[in-house]
Amino acid sequence: MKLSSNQRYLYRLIVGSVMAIWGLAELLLNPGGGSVIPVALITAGVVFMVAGFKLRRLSRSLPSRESPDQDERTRRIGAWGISYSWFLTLLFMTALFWLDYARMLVLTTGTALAVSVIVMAVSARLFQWYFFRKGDVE
Amino acid sequence: MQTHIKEYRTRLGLTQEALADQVRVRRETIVFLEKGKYNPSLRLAWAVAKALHAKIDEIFSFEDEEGGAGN
Repeated sequence: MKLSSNQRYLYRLIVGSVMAIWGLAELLLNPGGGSVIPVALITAGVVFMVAGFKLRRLSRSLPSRESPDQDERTRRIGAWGISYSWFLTLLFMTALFWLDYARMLVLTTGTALAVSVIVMAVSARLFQWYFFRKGDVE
Repeated sequence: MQTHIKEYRTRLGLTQEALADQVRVRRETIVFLEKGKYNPSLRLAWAVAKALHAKIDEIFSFEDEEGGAGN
């Protein structure tokens, strides 16, 4: 199902709101729990909403024309960026495992997972940004 | 890869945006195609050639690594 630009921005706002509210609820219901999950949820939710607002404002400032949101180049770069990110995260989690095994770095399960998710998400965007600037994945 | 998209496009009086609309891609894709920095799929290459009223091998060419021109 192909979504229009407006639908995508609306979904970003909804998802961002749900994540932020969920994080707030976790903080309020479990004060002093020591988990990073609520903060991560609130942060991610805010980022989603801000990105949705900014992109909507940007699209409204551009001349209206039937420009596809995606084409074969953006899909290719998107897919390759995610693939590179997956591999980098695999290496990162392997390093975490061995650091934990050697008792050089001890993290809770929640913290390790949260950090891995952040590494995966941020690296995916960075790889995609790099390939978009370069023009292609090759 | 080398392309002659800009040459054919300007000959027809098309803007990058107009060509992008015709072949249903983003304008940035046409920009990178003209620079030879994006390798299009066969479908897109065919669509671009058709929009420019030319053959694919008139629009796109590859140079062999040994330095010879591609056919």
